[in-house]
This record gives sequence, structure tokens and C-alpha cells, in this order.
Amino acid sequence: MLFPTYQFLVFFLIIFSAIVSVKPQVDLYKIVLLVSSLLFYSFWSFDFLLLLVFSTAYNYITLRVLCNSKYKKNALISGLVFNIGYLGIFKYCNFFVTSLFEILNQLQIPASFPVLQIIAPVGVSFYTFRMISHLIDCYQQKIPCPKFIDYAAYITYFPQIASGPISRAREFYLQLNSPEKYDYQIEEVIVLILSGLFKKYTLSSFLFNFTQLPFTVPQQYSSIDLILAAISYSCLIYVDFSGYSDLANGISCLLGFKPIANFNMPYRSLSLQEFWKRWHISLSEWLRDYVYFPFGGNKYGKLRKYVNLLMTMAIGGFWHGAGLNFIFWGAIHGLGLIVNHLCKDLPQAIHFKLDYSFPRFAKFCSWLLTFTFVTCSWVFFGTPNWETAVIFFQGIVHPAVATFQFNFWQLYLVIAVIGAINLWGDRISQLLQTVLSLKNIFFRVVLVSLLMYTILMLGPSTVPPFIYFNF
Amino acid sequence: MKDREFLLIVTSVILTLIFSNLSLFLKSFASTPFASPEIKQAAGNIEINGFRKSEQDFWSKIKDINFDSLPKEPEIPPVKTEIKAAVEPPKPANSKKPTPAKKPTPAKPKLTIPYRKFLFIGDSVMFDLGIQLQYTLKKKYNIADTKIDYKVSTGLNRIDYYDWYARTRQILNNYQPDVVIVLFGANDRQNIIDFQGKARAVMTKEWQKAYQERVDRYAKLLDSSSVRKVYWVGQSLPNKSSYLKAFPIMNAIYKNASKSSSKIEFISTWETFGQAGKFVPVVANKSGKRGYVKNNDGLHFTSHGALIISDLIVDEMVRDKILKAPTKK
Repeated sequence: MLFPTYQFLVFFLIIFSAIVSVKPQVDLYKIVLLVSSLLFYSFWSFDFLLLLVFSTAYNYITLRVLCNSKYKKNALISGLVFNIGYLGIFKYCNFFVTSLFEILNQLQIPASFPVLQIIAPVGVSFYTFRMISHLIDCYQQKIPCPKFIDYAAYITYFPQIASGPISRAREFYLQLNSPEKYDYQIEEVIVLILSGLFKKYTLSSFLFNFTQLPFTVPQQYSSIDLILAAISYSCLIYVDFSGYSDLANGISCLLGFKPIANFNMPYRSLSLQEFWKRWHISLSEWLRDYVYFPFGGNKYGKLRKYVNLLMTMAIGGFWHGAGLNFIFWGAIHGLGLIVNHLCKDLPQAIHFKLDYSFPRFAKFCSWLLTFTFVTCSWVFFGTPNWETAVIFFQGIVHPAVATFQFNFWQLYLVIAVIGAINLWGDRISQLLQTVLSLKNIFFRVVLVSLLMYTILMLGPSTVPPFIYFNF
Repeated sequence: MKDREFLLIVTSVILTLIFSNLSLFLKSFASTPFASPEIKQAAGNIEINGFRKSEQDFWSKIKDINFDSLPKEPEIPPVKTEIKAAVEPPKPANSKKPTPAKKPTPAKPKLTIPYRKFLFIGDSVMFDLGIQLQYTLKKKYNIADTKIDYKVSTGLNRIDYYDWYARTRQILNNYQPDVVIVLFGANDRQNIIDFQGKARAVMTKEWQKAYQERVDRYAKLLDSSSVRKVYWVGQSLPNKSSYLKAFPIMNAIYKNASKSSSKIEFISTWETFGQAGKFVPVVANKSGKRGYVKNNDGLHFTSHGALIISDLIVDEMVRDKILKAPTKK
């Protein structure tokens, strides 16, 4: 069940009405929330629900053993092995089988053994990451062992199960167990929901058509078309994912949870380091805390720090998808971050003085370099395989086609709008909230209706699926 | 209090939106499982106009320009095929010139009209297949003049949502293809409004009759056009149980429609990914390489699966002498 559908609207209105009446009664509230989450997930597939229940139960038993016995380390290892194995089977099995076939084909060895096609449950990467971090947090005694209902409500929490943000257990439990729920502002929720719908329904659906073909058959497009397609993809993945996060946060507010900042105008970043502090923040922080730090972080010298960075980013890339192109995407971001750190680590005397003489120009150069790097790296992310990505870049330098096909003012306008969101998104949101904070309910209804109507009218007849649902 | 105020705002906004554009609401609501057959019937009769119409035209325009305006590539010689021209080109008047001396002239080779333009029409499943067909035709047969015209979430059922008749007529006129390859069905397993305007429940006898009418009408459209050959690709075994019953019925309908025209040929792919009626996820291609054939949704082809199906179609075209044996580079 996708968020921008009638089915979800009906589902949510029923759930919200039920939750409103039980919000102060913590125990009842937890039951209603858990049942709603399980019901929501069952709409994807009943088999997926059974897997989720099984994985949650197994992890909870492991947690109990971890917290209450002396075999803490063994319990942690068995939990980690289970979760990595679970993710490996459901997300990477097909990739490994395909790779095995490739190797056997290269060696001309007949491969006739039977194989299964395993379908990954929705949100498997997101909920498994939450389970892993929970195990580690309990092992490090950052949080006590929770009650089963609390744990199940955290893992299955429906606004975040399909595509995040990846919330942390400690904050979640604090809010879940408090009779005083997050005191949202109506205008805050309205702006989040409108922003999510505008990004997903209008902008993302529009850009989808300018990226699908160029990212599949780049040889059919001119140089300028491919550049525009690459920029469009940068914009598309931002509006698609941040739109989902906005909707998830809006719904979370209504259920009594504080929104989690997942995107903070990432394309205004002046360095790759800054980009990863603004892009998919909950994942970046997760990778930092549960991969980079356990590898040693920056504690064992600069060389080790760079290796850790590279490995963390490559793992982050592989988390996004089962394919060599995703690992490569992560690795080049790792390399970019290393270069970024190297520049910072250089002695002050060697520093280029451009930023002192021409600060604005230096800022612009930094922004352009960062945006170009990020956009080029998305090509490896968005194309179906390595070969197509190479053809894409070849097409930019030596195009097979000269005709400029994407010369539409609507496309330029959409890119400009997304640019504006990245520059002044916070101010636009604040302005809209101020306008909507007027107490006159009639005015609010008229304004929201008008905005919603515009979004619906500007949206296409077919809304493509969320990109991050694949992860 | 705040929650109730929010509910009040949401309800008011929903009602405002419904009543401000009832036809748009009906049309979008008809696609949901909540809609009754009567609502679907009413929505089906609403004409798409205004912004929705211009949106469809806009995307069609983008897709249209793929190849129409491209410069021809002179370095690639046109593919000569062995098929005889259906109609010999008219001889110019007074073409007989007196010859100075009677010489025994060698027998003239039979004139052939090559098949140059290939069009692939369908839904998102055709997109995966079309990409592979384009690649194979270009790489093995030096044919670059190909076009994919696809639209996700469409088919021959919900023509009120996307009118494939109008779209096909338009693209046939603009592009003038020699060969058309058609693949529909993945989105057609839903209730249908028949030509009398009545809603018919999916897979019932009445549904099958109405869908046959849709397909026949589409086949007639292709048959009466200047297209020289049409391949109607049937659905292959899905890895999704809900389609197992529907696809054989739909394949029979496509096959039946193709019988009405000598131009149209039905290509069955049902058993390509199956063994004894059961789906096989990993299949070997012509060169013996094994790989997954369908994506996780059980419907769309992987690039390996698309290669296998495209080889099947290309073989059929070689048999029909539409394509010559592959050019070796």
C-alpha cells in the first residue's frame, strides 16, 4: 500500500481516529499501533508479514538472551549472523546466483543445478538495520531490554517500515512509553504532507519520464540530453526519497512521534562531507555508528581512517542494491570522501588561497564540483549495469546522436523549482507554516484545498513507484 | 482537540476536492478496489480532456521524437531482405526506350523492398523487451530505425484511461513502420466496460467476449494500416499465481484475433519459461548461458529473460524472411 493512494487514505483515517481516542492510555496505544502496523504490512503480502513476525520473534529471543545471560557476546554474534544471513538470503541471493552463473559461463562449466528465485520482502533492509542496531545498543548497554510489545512496535512501525527514516530505539521507546505524545503543530503536519505529495506526485513523476529511457539506452540520446537526464536523475532521486520521508514524518507526527530529519537541502552542499550530512541523514548516521566506528573510525591513524571510510561507503553502496554498480557507487563516494579529508588534512601553508581572495567564486567552484561529482555518481546508481553506465559517459563525450530531444521549458522549470527547494526549502516551509498558522479554520481549508488541487492537477495520470522501495 | 481539528480539516479538504472536480475524482476512484462496477462504468464514460489530455499529449510528444528527427546514418547500408515486393513499383510512362542493338540482357534480379522500420508497442513489459529487441536489431542486423512506444499501467482494457487506439493510429501515421510488435495484457486483468457501456466482472464469459472485441478492434486497426507485418507476442508463464489463470485465456484471445488477418502472427511464449506448466526462474539462452528470466514482481523480464524472448521473435522474423541472416562484423 503506497502512501499517495485512496487505499492508504481510508486506512489512515480509520487508524488515526482509533489512535486519537487511545493516545493517553499508553498500553492500549501500543496495541493499536502494533496492530495497525501489522495490518499495513499485510497489504503488501501475507508471506512477507509471516517473515517479519518470524524475524522479529527470533531477534527478540536473542535480545532476551543477550540481556539476561552471561553469553552476551555469543548472543550478539548469533543475532548478527542471523540478520546478515537473512538480508543475504532475501536481498542478495539472486545476485550471488547470477554472479555464480556468470563465473561458470566464463569457465564454460555447465550449470544445471536447480535454483529458486527469492523475492525480497518490502523494507527488508530498513527493518533488518533497525534490528542490528538494537542488538548492538543492548550489547553496549545503551538501552535496556525492552518489552516484547515495545520491540515489535518499533520494528514494525508502519510509517517507516518500507523506506525509513531509520529511527533509533532509544528515542522511539521514550516517545512510545510517554503519555505526553509529541505535540505537533497542525500547520507543520500539513506542510510535511503537502511537501511530500508535491515532491512525489508532481515533481518525481514528471522527471521519471526524462530518466527512464536515457538511463537504459543512452546511445539513443545526444550529449546535452544525457547531461539533462543525469541532472534530472539527481533531482528525481532527491524528490522521490525526500518526498517519502516528508510523508512518513507527517504521519509520524500525527501518531505522536517527533519527525526525523532525513534530508536537509543536500544539493546546496559545498563538499562531499557536507553532502553526506544532509543526504539520507538517518542512514549516514547509522553507517557511522554501526559500521565506521566499529571498524575503528579515526582512532588508528589517517591511513586506517581512509580505509575505514572506503569500506563503510562500499558497504553503504551494497546495502542500496545487489549489484556491482551499487558497490562502485559507494566506493567512489568513499574515494571522494578520502580526497575531501585529504584536502582538509593538508598543512595550512599548502592550502590554496582562492577562498580568501575570491570567497564567492571559491564557494561556487566547491558547489559545482560537489554537485557534478554527486550527479556523475548517480549514473552508476541509476543505470541497470556497469556497461550501460560506461555507454552513458561515452555518449556525453562522443554522442552517437546529435538531435536535442529534451528541450522543454517544463523540464527547466522543474529543475529550477528543485534548485529553489535546495536553496530556500527551510524558508519556504517556514513561510507556508506561518500562513497556515492562522486560526481561521475556513481559511485553512480553502488554502489547503487549493494547494492540494494544484498538486493533483499537476500530477500525471500514472505515479511511478518509489525508487527506495527497491532497497 | 488538535487531532480532531486536523481530522476536520482533512475531511473538509477531501469533500472540497471531490465536489470541485467530481469527474476527475470519479475517474481516479474507479481505479481503486473500493469502486463498484457502477462507478467504474460511469468513470469509463467520462472523456479525458483538459489538463489530463495535455499531459498525455506532452509525454507522447517526448516519446515521438526519439527517432523521427534523427539524421540517417549513411555509413550503415540498408538491410536487404529476400522478400519479394508485395507490389511492384509503378513503371514510369513511356519508359520503353529504343535500344540501339539487341543484346541478350541478363535476367533482372527480383525487386525487394527491405523492412526498415520496426515499432514496438505495449505496456511496461514491452519496454524491457523493446530495449532488447532494439539492441539485437542494431547489433546483429544493422537496423537502427526502431521505436518503442510504451506506457506503464496501460493495456487494451482501460482505454478510458489511455486510448491505445488513438495513440496507435497517430504513431502509425507519423512513423510509418514496416513491422509492428505488440505485447499487452499485464494490466488488463481487471473489470471491463464492454462496447455497450456495461461493466463486466473480470474473467467471466462476458468479460472474455468484451476483451475479445477490444483485441479484435485493435487487430483490425493494424490490419488496415500500411504496416506490412505484425507480431503479437503472447504472455509468458508468470511467477505470480494471480496471473496464472488469466494469461492463458488472454493468450487464446490474442491468438484468435491474429487469425483474422494474414498480416498478424501470434507468437506463443507461454512455455518458454516453463516446464510442464510450472514456472522455471532460471533458463538458458541460445548460447547456453543461464540466468533469471523475470524480475521479483514475477511479470517483467530481466535483461536475460528479454534476450530469450527477443531471440524467439527475431528467429520468427528470419523465418519469415523479414530479416536476413545476421551480418558478421
